[in-house]
Amino acid sequence: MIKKLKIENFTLFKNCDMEFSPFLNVIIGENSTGKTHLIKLLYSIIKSYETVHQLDKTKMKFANHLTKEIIDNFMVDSIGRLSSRVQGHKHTKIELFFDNEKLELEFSTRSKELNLKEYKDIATKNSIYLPTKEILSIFENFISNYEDGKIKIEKLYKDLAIKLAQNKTHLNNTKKSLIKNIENIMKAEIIYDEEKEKFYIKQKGIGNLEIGLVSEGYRKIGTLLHLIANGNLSDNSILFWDEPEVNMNPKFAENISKLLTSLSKRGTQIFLVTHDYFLIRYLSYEAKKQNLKIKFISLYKDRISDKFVNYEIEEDIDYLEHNSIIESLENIYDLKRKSFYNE
Amino acid sequence: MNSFIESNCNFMFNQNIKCYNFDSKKESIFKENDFCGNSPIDFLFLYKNDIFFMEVKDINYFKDYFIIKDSNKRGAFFDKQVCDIYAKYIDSYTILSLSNNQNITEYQNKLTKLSKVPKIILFVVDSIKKEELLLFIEKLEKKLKKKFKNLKIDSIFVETLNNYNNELYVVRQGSVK
Repeated sequence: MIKKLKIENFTLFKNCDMEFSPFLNVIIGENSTGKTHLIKLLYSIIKSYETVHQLDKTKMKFANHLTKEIIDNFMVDSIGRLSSRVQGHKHTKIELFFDNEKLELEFSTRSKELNLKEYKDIATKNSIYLPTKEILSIFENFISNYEDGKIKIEKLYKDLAIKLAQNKTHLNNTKKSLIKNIENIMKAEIIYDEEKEKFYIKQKGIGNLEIGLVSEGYRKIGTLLHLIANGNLSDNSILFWDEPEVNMNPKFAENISKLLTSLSKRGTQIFLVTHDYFLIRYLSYEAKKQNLKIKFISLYKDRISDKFVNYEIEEDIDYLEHNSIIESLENIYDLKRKSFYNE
Repeated sequence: MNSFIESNCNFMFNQNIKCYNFDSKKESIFKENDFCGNSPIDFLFLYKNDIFFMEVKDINYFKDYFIIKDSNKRGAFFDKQVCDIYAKYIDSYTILSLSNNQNITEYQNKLTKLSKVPKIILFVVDSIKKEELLLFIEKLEKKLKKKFKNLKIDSIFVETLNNYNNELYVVRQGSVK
């Protein structure tokens, strides 16, 4: 479980100290305010624990692996590119707090590798990152093409592909009903053909359709359902989801919110980046109904030309002073008012 | 400045706004239309090239909407409010078109020259966020247009104590009796 993150001079963040909810964390903000940077950083760290745990737990190996993980997920030439150039402050410092452990690392604009100041192995090792683009439709040979360097994309896409490339496992009734609820709306089921390395959608009365024939919104939901069904999104996982609403009709927002709150209630810590009004509202209602602690993190710049972002964190979305989603709605109200009064 | 009291609020219309307390007669002069109810909307005023009908409602009229758990009952409650607004609209429109009352002649003349139908302002006495108001307007417009396809609703807008148009009027709440 990620409890807290402290950052100094990392990309758009000059100084931040964020405490997270063990259940749901919703990150909002205008474009280019560092939302994806934040979850990519967290994911890269958790992913490194996961990978290194399977190989070698030494401090040096971890530093080496984390450096590569961050570089590959941010697609930069060197780790130093992520260090903000600030006069008088040459170092980037990141501290990540877990239940009982802490990770501390440093690097500078000239660093080739990060320097681990504090490191201990942790229990949480399973992380899933759902990026904005879906990969079910381009799944065939995706992993080998990535490894052969034929596809240049963030490594997190390959990580996701590896987790998807496993078939359904035996599930308990709760998880079955979680999946069933969404499948009932889609009126379809996601099928993976291991031999062909291809995904299909099974519709009642129609049979198996190639995944490319269904909408992107369905493919995104299908990705999440398959990860639950094959056991990779389990109770102690950490889920990072970047803009679930992309290509998704707002009608799905309620059920997606129900699914996410149910997952977090069962122990999955969730970090969600969104621009969607319906999603934040449904998540608020569902979290309240299920008595789950939810944190809304708003990233914003005072002026568009500002180099660094500010942030605020509230447990109630309505307490945020900077909320670009609600501000847009208010703007529509003002436009409607102008039109009404012929102004 | 024209000053009118409604739902424990004092509405003070600016001097350049011609306003008429439309509900002062208590009963409609056009009684044969049963469906239309028997009372017009609260205020009538002219602004730029438009005639505005303004209906003031205390939030208590709507509070039940948010409390009712059964979605069918909630829908029925909302429909009732919409019908009430519609009835008042029709009633007012009819009075305006047919009345011989000298007080509204100016509005009547304006109405005949205008191709547009009057605009409705629903003034809700309470503080609601703009975001909620917007959704409320969307819902109201949709209901009105869907329910009464033959009715030309040019537009409906919801204002509150926080968001009223102070170019037209100021409003004071509370101590008014």
